[in-house]
Amino acid sequence: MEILNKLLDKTALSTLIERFGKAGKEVYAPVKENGITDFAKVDTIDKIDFECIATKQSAKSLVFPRVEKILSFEKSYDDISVKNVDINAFPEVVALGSRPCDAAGFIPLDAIFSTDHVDEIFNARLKKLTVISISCKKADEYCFCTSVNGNPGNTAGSDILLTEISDSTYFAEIVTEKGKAILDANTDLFKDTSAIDKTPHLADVKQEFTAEAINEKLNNLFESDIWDKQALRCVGCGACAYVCPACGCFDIQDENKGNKGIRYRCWDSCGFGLFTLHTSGHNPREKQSQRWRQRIFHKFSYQMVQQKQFGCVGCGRCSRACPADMNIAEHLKEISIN
Amino acid sequence: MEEIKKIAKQLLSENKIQMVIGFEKGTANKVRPAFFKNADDVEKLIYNDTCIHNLALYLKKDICHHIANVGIIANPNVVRSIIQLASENQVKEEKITIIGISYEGKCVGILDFKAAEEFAKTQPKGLKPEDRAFIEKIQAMPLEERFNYWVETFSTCVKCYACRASCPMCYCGKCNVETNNPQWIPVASHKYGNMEWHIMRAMHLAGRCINCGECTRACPVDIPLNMLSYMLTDFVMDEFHTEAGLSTTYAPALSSYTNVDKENFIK
Amino acid sequence: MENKNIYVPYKMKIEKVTEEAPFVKTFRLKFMNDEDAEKFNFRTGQFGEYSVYGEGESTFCIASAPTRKGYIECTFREAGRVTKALANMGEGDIIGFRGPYGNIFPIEEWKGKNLLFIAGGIALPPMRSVIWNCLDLRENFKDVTILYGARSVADLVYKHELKEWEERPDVKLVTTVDPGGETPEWNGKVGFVPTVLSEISPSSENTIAIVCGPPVMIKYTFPVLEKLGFTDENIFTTLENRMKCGFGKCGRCNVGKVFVCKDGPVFTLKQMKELPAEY
Repeated sequence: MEILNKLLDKTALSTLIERFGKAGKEVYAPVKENGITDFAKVDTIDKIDFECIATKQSAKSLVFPRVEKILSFEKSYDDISVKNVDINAFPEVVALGSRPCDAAGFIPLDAIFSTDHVDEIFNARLKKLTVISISCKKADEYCFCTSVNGNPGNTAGSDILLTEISDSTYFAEIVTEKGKAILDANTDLFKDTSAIDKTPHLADVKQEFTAEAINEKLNNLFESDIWDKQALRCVGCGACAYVCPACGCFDIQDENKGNKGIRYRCWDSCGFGLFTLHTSGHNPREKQSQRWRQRIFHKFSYQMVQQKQFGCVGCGRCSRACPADMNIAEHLKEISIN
Repeated sequence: MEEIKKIAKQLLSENKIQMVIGFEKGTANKVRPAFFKNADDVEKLIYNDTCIHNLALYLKKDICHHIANVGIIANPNVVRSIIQLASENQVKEEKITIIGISYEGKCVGILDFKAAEEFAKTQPKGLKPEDRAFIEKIQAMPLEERFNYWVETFSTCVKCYACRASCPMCYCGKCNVETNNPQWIPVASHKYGNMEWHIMRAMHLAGRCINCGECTRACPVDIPLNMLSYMLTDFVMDEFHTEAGLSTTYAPALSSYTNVDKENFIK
Repeated sequence: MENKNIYVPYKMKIEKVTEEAPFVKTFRLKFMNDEDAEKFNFRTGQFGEYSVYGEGESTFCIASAPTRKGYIECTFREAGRVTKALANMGEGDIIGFRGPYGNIFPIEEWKGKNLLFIAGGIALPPMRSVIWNCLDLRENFKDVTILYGARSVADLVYKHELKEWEERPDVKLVTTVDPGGETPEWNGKVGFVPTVLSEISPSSENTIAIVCGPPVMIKYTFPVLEKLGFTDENIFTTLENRMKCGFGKCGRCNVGKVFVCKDGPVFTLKQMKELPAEY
């Protein structure tokens, strides 16, 4: 669909939130609590932290929760009944105030869950999600979206993208049909406008390399000692993967109490040794540096083959979360000039 | 800092050590752990009051395997960790050279294990006044409220295990949470899975934790889980009158028996 | 919205349990729902996720041949949480099965060729499916040789089928056990699989080699095959990376540009050489 250009008063946001609530939609937005900003359910605008550059965790849990029930079961004396997940019971959700990198993260995730075998649970959540992002007017030293095909005003993955063009007004780009449905239901709040150049209102994120160049470089770097060098201080936790908007790897586990139980999928990380450990004790990726290499190769090489998407949106969350300052942008830059 | 560099350079050039674990400038005005293998590299070494990572962690990592002697820039937390690791037979004195730094940031030179023990006793622990106030607030809660406080606090845990991965005392080859036969701890990061994980970890660290606070620093969602460990340290002190990280011959309170151990828990 | 949940397994009943070796069992499974049975189709080389509700899922190949209709079989060694729970189940019990997943052994393309099967230990099950599949279509192939080795005589699986193959005039079976694993009655060979392979030195002329075994056996068998003149395209194996989902989503069996679960598990040596050695 062709992007529709509109104007939205900042004050109209609270009306929107109110109307979403009345329409039975749950609104998730960045909320600052105990010093950290993360997505949380809101019912009023004053709870939203509009200043946060990037929430600690990404918005991915709205479609790919930490723990997602995939079926439930109940055993009787001589039978087992297995119950499917009621995807119709999933709530309609609006992500409000997500960043363009958050929105872009839904694209590689969708590619993982929809290539070949379609994961209906993920898709049901995605279908019921409307993404209203706000362009970045500020960036920090961890941001590198422009190096991986993104930018602070990128519309990809958003249904509506808002760009603050004055203290009182957003320039609203209606990107998808879902976005248009919001527009149509709230025509009184949106005003017509011609296209506006967003650039002066966006953060300046310097491009340091390109994802394509990394992809190209990796063709000859598998055996390089760069992985050992880069991964030296890596402590081997899963923080990078868990805060990443594009990491979709998971584990499947059962839990039961008496005769009833559920099977769920939950986040997992290629940074853990257990991720690939065979029953026999053999581990194809025994060393942390091999796991670090897998992380980079998966995002910049393998995913491009498997799902035609890069698995990194340049939000820098992994670098911010890393206890050992494994800065992905620094490492990618090093790879690009290797 | 110049003195630290001088010592490190000398040790490396005399081949008394083959690597120094220290700090270098990181990204975004941060410092980060770094490994220096020759005297020239040491130029990049830095030390300031933001160098709080517990470097003792790396003594148990691959990077230190096959290195005859590793030098380590050791603030009081690192020294305590090394002493504790030594008491658990995890590190050998002849393979480590401790370059001690006091809590004020002053280099105190090379410490052997004996001197390290003496040094550790003179250094205040990492507990800040606000931490103490926090603990007192929690301890004043009725039991149920306190339990609920922790359940809620741990509910945001994503189970990335950064706490475990950055803890020098969490060196088990196979963590209890990785065993599934039986499955002691649920894999999921739901409320109770998180609670069980953190209780288990706290119990395994009770009487062993040297209170460096690294777990909380590493936590991507800022859970103050070190407070639970602090409280257990207090508890072990009250009940057993011992403390981790001060003696290389220390027997962890919860895994050793003495004839003065109280038996009042048997009912 | 209808939820075509890809994680929901078929319900299957354990029809028969065979004790193969210490801690190794074979289950014959039947679909409990006739509709499922009718719809279900698989080809040799494919695998599935077998589940014990409350314990989880475990990945094994389908060890029976698609030519044997009405059931599937799996053989597993009791090792972890799920396989232990499986081992505790008996005839009449219900388990879950998801599948079939993965690619196949291209037996159509092997018509008119000699087949050399080389298996080690618990890796005979994935091979058994393709062996029976080929033997059931025996006229399509020329000489069939099976070399099977295990740590000890007790560890050999499918003992009654080994006997059947031994007695068949149209199959050459060579069995071997690792040195020290033999019994006084043992009349097979003693030695590691790669050693025995170079001893029997089969011709590579118009021959396909299918190799399956623990990583260390595979590692030492490939060079012997290469020495015998087998080309990389004519050597097949099936990889056994750790898996969870079975359809290229959970990420753990990702090796280079492939998912072992989706693009494999069957690979030629040529394909394997194009992958990083992370299997």
